[in-house]
Amino acid sequence: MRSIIVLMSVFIWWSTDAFAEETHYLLGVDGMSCPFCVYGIEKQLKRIDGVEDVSTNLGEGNIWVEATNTDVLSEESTRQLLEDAGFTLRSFEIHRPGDHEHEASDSGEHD
Amino acid sequence: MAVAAPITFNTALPVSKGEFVNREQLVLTRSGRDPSGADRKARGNALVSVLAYGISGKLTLFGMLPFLDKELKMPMPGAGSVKRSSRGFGDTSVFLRYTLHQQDQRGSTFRLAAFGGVKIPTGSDSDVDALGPLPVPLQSGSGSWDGFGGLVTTWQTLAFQVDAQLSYAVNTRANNFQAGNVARLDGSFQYRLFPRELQSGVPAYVYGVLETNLIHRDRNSFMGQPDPNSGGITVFLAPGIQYVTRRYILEAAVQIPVVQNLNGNTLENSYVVRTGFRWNF
Repeated sequence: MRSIIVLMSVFIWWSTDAFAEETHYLLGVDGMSCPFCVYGIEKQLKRIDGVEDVSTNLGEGNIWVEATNTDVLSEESTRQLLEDAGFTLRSFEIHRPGDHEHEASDSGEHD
Repeated sequence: MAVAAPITFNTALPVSKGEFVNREQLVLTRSGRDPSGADRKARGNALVSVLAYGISGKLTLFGMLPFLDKELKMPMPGAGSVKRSSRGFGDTSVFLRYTLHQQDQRGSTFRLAAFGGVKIPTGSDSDVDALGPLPVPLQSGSGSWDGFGGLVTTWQTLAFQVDAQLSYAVNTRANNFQAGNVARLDGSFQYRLFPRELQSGVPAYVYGVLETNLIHRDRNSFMGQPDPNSGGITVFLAPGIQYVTRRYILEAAVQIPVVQNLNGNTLENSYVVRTGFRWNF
């Protein structure tokens, strides 16, 4: 009986985690060239409901966003957010756990 | 003054929409070489507070208020020399900066911005001491509404930043006195000294900074008559250093006058020390 309860608990935990649809977004950001630039962008992203974590790689010009699902960010809303911060969206990618392919978009706005 | 930016003037870099940047800078000005031979000495200490607000990604509103502590030592016939001083809040400056052109690439940006504003006479212009009304240069405030504006440009990469600014200030008359208009050309070069190689994440930077300021002041006038002992050209060279993180910047620079071509017996600058911090909130 105990082992059944343990197995059911593990199954429920696994199911909940699987259904969480945790999603990662990889944002390419142009114009971001020093540490002080980063704060405003990260603060704007963290305000969005569903965003759990934001991690910036200044040297690569990329920002990883960890979110609860694929509806948290769209390419258009992200472009507007970055414009409001004073920067430019270079690329927008969605990475789902277990995906072998991911959605990628080059915003095409290269100068 | 939004991001890693010049120490002695402004930048074209943005303040995010809805966000604030606060800058506090201590400015210590010392003047000592007196062409008149009267051995005048002037000291000015100022704590300058600036608050910037991002109205949009391109438009930023700035407010600037100094707290001033001034002292002038001058000869007094029959009494050797006398010190006169004042202390208090100075005039408030409010201005807008708008990005006219923006060219962003991975790890770099080029911006051109225009700015313009007004200096509001909030400081006291009628302070007195035991000898009577203080001279105009010793007053905390000017008593006049003045305007200023210009263009500023910034080219920033992961390794360095170059800023340049052209500005002009128009001073109006108050209390029968009118300060000369001021034209400025400023330049700044900031080079990342540390880290030498960028790893992942957002490391703190240390910038070595070298700035230059070319300042031309017209002659002051009193009751409509130009003062021959005012105005002229000064060129400063300003080495400095900055420590830049996500949240704050610490900085310091010394402005050294390398050229002083001042009219008449105008008191010359010895040096100006600037130190302070900026932070995002």
